[in-house]
Amino acid sequence: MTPVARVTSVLGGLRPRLILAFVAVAVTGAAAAAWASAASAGTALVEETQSRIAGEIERTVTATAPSMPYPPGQAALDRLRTTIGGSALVTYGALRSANGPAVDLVTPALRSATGRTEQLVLQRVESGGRPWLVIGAPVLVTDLSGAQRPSGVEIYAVRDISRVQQQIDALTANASRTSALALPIAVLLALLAARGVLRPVRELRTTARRLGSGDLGARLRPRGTDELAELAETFNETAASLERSVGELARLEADARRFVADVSHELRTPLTTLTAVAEVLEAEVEQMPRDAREPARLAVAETRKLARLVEDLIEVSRFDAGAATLRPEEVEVRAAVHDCLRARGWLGEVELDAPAELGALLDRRRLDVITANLVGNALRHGAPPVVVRLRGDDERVYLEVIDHGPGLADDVARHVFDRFYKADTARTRSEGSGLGMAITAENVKLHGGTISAGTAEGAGARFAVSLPRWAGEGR
Amino acid sequence: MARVLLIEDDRAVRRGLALALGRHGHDVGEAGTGEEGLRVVDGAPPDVVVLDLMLPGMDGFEVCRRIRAGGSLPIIMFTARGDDLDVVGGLEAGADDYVVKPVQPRVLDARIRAVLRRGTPAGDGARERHHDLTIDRAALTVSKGERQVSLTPTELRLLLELSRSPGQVLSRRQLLELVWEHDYLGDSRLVDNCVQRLRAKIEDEPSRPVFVQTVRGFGYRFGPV
Amino acid sequence: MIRRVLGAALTAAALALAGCGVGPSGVLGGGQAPTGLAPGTPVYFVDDEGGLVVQRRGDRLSTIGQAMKMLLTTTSPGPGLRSYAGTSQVALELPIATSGDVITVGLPIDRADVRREIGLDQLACTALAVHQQSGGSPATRVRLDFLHGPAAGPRHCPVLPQG
Repeated sequence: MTPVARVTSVLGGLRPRLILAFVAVAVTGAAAAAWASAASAGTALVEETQSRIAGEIERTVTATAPSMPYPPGQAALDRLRTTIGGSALVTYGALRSANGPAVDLVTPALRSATGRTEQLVLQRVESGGRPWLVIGAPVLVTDLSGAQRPSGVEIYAVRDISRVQQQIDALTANASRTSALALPIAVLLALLAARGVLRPVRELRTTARRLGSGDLGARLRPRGTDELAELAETFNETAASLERSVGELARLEADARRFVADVSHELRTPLTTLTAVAEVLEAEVEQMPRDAREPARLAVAETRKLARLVEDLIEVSRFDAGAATLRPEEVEVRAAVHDCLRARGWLGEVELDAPAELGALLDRRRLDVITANLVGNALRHGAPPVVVRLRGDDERVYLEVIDHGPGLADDVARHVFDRFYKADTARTRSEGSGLGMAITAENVKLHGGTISAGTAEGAGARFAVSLPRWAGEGR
Repeated sequence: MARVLLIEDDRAVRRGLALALGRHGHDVGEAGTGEEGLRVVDGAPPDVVVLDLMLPGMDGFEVCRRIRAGGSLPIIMFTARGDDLDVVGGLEAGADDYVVKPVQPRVLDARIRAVLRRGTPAGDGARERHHDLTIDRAALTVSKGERQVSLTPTELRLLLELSRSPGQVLSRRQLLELVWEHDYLGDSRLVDNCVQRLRAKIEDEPSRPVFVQTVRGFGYRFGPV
Repeated sequence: MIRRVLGAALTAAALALAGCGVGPSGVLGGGQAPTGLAPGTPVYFVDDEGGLVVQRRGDRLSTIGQAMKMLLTTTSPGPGLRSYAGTSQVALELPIATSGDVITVGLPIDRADVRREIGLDQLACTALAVHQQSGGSPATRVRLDFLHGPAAGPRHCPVLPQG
């Protein structure tokens, strides 16, 4: 991510955006207010200063003029200029009396305006980095009818108004300080406001996450009557409907499973009789009439298959009911696997690749079920040689069963642990119950382990089991 | 071969198993309820009882306890559910071994023979004293001080196997093979439960055993006293 | 959205900054221009037809006091002109007091020295003409105090603008 993109993504969050917007509005408002008042104060200050200076000059000249001869001579102009004081220029026709360097600041525009008007005129100019006020005024003659006309005497005065500039600067600085002071307060208020606005959003997120992770009872507490409250209500309705549907499904499935469990248990008693009788029948088969032998053998074989199926159904029901418990004990895994293979007469067909000793804390019976089902599956559906590989580290025990058959297609590998899944659809009945792999997966899960199916490189199907080596600990 | 009492309420199961066990050479008596079974045990005691836990009226656990209270007759319980609760309850009630329905008759036969073998002398006929505990291997009797201790054949066999080499640890697996003659998948709870009962009979303080000691992570050991 | 808000904020700040301060300006109107120049002091006399006539004395407007003194010290105003305002050879400028829109002039003569009513107009017009030409308000009236006799006015001058 580029730094710019990162900044954009950080600023893209709801909270930063809210805070930024809030701060921007607050600071802009404060700055605008402070600066507007500073500006109007500044303008008033300038106008007040201008009219004060203009008034002073008007009064001074008006007080002096009656004692001046008219038309005036050079001496009278000089006297008037002195009375005005500071940098000043007084003209009458070709006569001219000037003092101070600043009189150069009198602009032609002001001079021409002064010649044309019967009013006092003003202009602000800047020179040498300081502001100046230039006043131009015609001195009028008031005749006895009350009418006024220019006398031809014009006066110009130049005044330094940098003090006003300083006062305005002070006002502006003050406004800046006020705006700056608004910033932390705005940030604080923004944080509080963002919290208030974002809390329902955060609650919504938390609740949605709880719902997503399976807590179907998760609900929001709607507060107020705003859009967020409406959203919360809609959310709650959706969650409630979801909970109802899931609850209904769960009830149906639980019913189905309980039915299977009940049926399996009920089958046990007749199966006990059948199993017992089958054994008697099997022993007597040679003494039977020839045409009764075949049916007798069939009855015996099918009885055993039925017994296995019911056995597996009961085991699966136990997992479904959560009644399966782990009974961990010290197991030497190599010996346990070896015993499993030996007990089933598979030692000749299976190659056991294992370290000399691998101690672990596992459920011995369930480890046997896992091993027997995987190896049995490999022997039935794969091709020899079948290899059982055992490995272990500090934390886990790894059990791999690899055959050299055609391997597992991806869609088979995905479903191989499903109940009654048959890869070969043409074969309607397998040797096993069809539950062996599902029971294997459940047993691995009960240990807190993982199981996966796939195709081994250069070989056939590969089933890999990983079990926590000390599964019993902390239980 | 042996006189077996089969206490089972389902007539078909009873008949089927009786037929099969009969073929294995046993003399099988049948009882349809716990009460009837107890009357047979009182009247003409069999060599071994095969007891279904799910009985109408008095249940199998109660029957087991009553037989155990009356003596050391070997009991193999017959559980329909194979649940842990059944197994633990049955063992605590005093059963020596258990099988799960549907059982193959030859497996049941093997268990019956194993439990009966426990009550026969094991080779050498020595008489040993370990502190106040006297073990007579020939007479198959055990005395604590002057008092003779009544042990079931399984408890006795467990004590004999453990005390054969005092101080040596035997794993549960070894004990299952030696005493119960189970294969490698035998239920180690059989051993633990039997050790509890044995301790209750021969130890001064069962919670701080002297004769049968637990070696954590391995198994049990006799002494050293 | 943020960018727009920030932009607005900066614009507002720039405008505010530009509005205050004393930067150069164009030519602005600045109020009343000064006045007070006049080619001599106006002094009022009476002509043959009994009308008031102004006569300029000297080269500047001068003050009310000076003008009154000129009026009182003039005995022969010129051909065809008379004065009824009385005469006095006063050496000093006359005392003038202004209070609101009334100017009070203390005259060094008695009321009886003013021989006709028009003599009072001469005195009032002379005072008010100087007052108006030196920028004073036409609404201002004058009150004449005498050494002896009742004061006259406050009154306007009949030939001058009266507010």
